[in-house]
This record gives sequence, structure tokens and C-alpha cells, in this order.
Amino acid sequence: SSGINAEYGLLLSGKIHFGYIYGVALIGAASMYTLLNLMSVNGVSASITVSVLGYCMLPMCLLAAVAALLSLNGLFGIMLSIVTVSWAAFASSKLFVSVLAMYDQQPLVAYPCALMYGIFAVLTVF
Amino acid sequence: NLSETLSSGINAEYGQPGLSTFQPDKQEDTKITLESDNLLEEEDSQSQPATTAAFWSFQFYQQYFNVNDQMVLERLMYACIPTPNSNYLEKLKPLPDFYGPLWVCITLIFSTAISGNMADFFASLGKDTDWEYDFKKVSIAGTVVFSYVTVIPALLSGYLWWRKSTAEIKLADTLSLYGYCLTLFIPISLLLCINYEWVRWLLILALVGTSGGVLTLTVWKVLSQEPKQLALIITCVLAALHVALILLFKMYFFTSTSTKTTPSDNSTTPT
Repeated sequence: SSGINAEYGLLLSGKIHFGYIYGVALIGAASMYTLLNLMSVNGVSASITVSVLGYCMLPMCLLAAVAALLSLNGLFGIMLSIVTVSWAAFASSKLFVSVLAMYDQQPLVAYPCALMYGIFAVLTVF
Repeated sequence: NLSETLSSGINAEYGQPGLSTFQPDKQEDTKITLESDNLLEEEDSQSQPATTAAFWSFQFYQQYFNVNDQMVLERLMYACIPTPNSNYLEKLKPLPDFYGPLWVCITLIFSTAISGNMADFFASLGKDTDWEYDFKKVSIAGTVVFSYVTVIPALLSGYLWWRKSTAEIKLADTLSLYGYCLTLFIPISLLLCINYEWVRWLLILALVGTSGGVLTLTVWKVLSQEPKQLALIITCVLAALHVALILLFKMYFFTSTSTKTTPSDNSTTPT
């Protein structure tokens, strides 16, 4: 549902790239699922991965909403995107780490999340 | 913790003629660094992780992702500094990992594509042509990076296996080595979008020195048991391939048809 909200936000700001969002979301979720199963002792189910990634998409929805109202070109847009992506990556990695008890690997989980949300941000802002 | 490992790692290597087989005192080092409970659970001894799973099963690849963030950070940092005395592979044993190389490659692909496009953008600032994002750069960067990081380590470890070298280097070790050696490419590729030609060549030189240095020194140590001439030839070939990769990056992604040669040069000049 957060993904759908992100799309409405984009639609409002005039960018209609729905296909990209679905594609990135699907590939991102599949990659995180694979990576987390490789890195953790217990496995993780696909539904948990998709839920966590989807919930932490919420900051990206905010970003898309802001993009609809203001123009995000320029320094302010870039800073806001960086903050939003970091927030989303931090939150999702925290959730993954506590679910899977991978406490000393949090930065390692956060980085792929940050890449994925970064791609979403690029789709949103540019 | 880090300095402990550093000093014990360098002391352990000092005075040893070439690469030795896995030694008991090294286990102490790895025990200190490995804080994760994962690792002590999964391997019952601190020797090389011997999973009996077949290579087409998931468990086989799981052993290569058993790293914590401190290990990854340490491996990344050491890949940036060529040290004549130690062998980078010592940092990777007994646990070569694929996490670092995988994300270094993926990040490198993105950073090169983004930076290459920014370089084109800067170059087009003086002209009237419209600038478009070139998505082909991503796919080309991806192909080049991934094939370099898989094919060359495969050739190297295949050669060592064929020669029945006692250096105990497996494919996973060489893959990790090559992956981590590309670490410095990432910040350099981001800096390469700066539009001054002399800056770019300076960055290239730095990259050749550090990344090439780490790779060459490690390969040289790895081949220490081969006849000297053969080892020299192979090391030179691998070093040349590395330099070729770096130059390829520069030529394809970061040569624009108009770059400023001096800071005060406002008009565009063809190179």
C-alpha cells in the first residue's frame, strides 16, 4: 500500500513511470530476500521481506508528496532525498536486524536497502 | 581490536617465505576479530569453512556471507593500501566473503554510470545540445565489471589448480580478492566527473598505484612457488589487465569531447 501511495504522489507531480516502480520494487524485494537468507542463520520468508520493505517505503511517499508540491531540483531536493533515503534504509535495516537477530550486521543490511530506496528516490526526484 | 589484528597480522607474515599453509596461531587472530555468534555456531573449528553442501545448494553460498560489519570494513580498508610485507589474501583467510565484492561491484556500476553521465553533462554545459541520460552506460559498466571480476579470478585459480600449487588458493579467494581490489574505483569514479583533464589523469595514476599495487603484490605472493620467470610473466599480465581496465574506464566513460584544460579556459576546446 505504501508503494501505491508513492505512485499517487508521483502521478500528482506529473511523472507517470508506474512500470519502473513495480519493476524496481519487485527486483529489490527479491534481491533483499536472497541476500537476507544468505546472510542470516535462520531464514526469512518472502512475506516478511516485502512487508518490511513496504512499510519503510513511507518516507519515500512523503518525498513523492513533497515533490508534487515543490520542485526538488537543486540542493534542497538532493539533501531532502538523502535524508529520506537514509531514514528509510535505517528503519528497514533495524527491522530486519531485530527480526533475524543479526545485530552486528546492521550496516551490511542497511546498504542494500539504501541502494534500493535510492533508486526509488531517483525515480521520484528526477 | 583493529590494531590488534593489524599488528598480529603483520607480525605473523613477517619473515615467512611466501604464502604458507594455514597456521594455528592465525586461528587466534581470527577468533579475536570474529565477534559474531553466527560464525562460531556455523563452523565447529576455526579452520577453513568446510561445508559439505554441494555447490548448487543454497547452504554452499551461505558460508560466504558470514561477515559482520567490522570484517567488511577492515577488508575494504586494506584493499586500498598496498603493503609490501603482507599479503591481502591473509586478510581474507579463512573466510573469503562474497558480500564485499558483490556490493563493491554493484556500487561501482552505479557510481560509474552516474559519474559518467555527470561528466557528459558538464561537458555539454558550454554547448547548445540537449543532454540526455545515457542508460547504456549502466549496462556497459555492469558487463565490464562483472566479467572482469569473474573471468580473471577463474583463470587465475584454474591455473593454480592445474599446477597443483600448494598455496591453497581457491576460486572463492581469488573472487574475493578481485572484488575487494575494485574498492578504490568507487570514490575515484565519482571524482572523475571533474571536468579537468589533468585532474582525471592524476586520479587514474593514484588508482593504478593503489589498486594495482594491492593486486600485483598479492598475486606475486600467491605465485611465489612457481618458477620465477613464469610468476613474473603472469603477474605482469594480470597487472596489465588491471591497468587496461582502469584506462578503459577513463576512455569510455570520462572522455568528453570538450574538457577544460586550464581553469581559466572558458571556451570549449576539442581534445
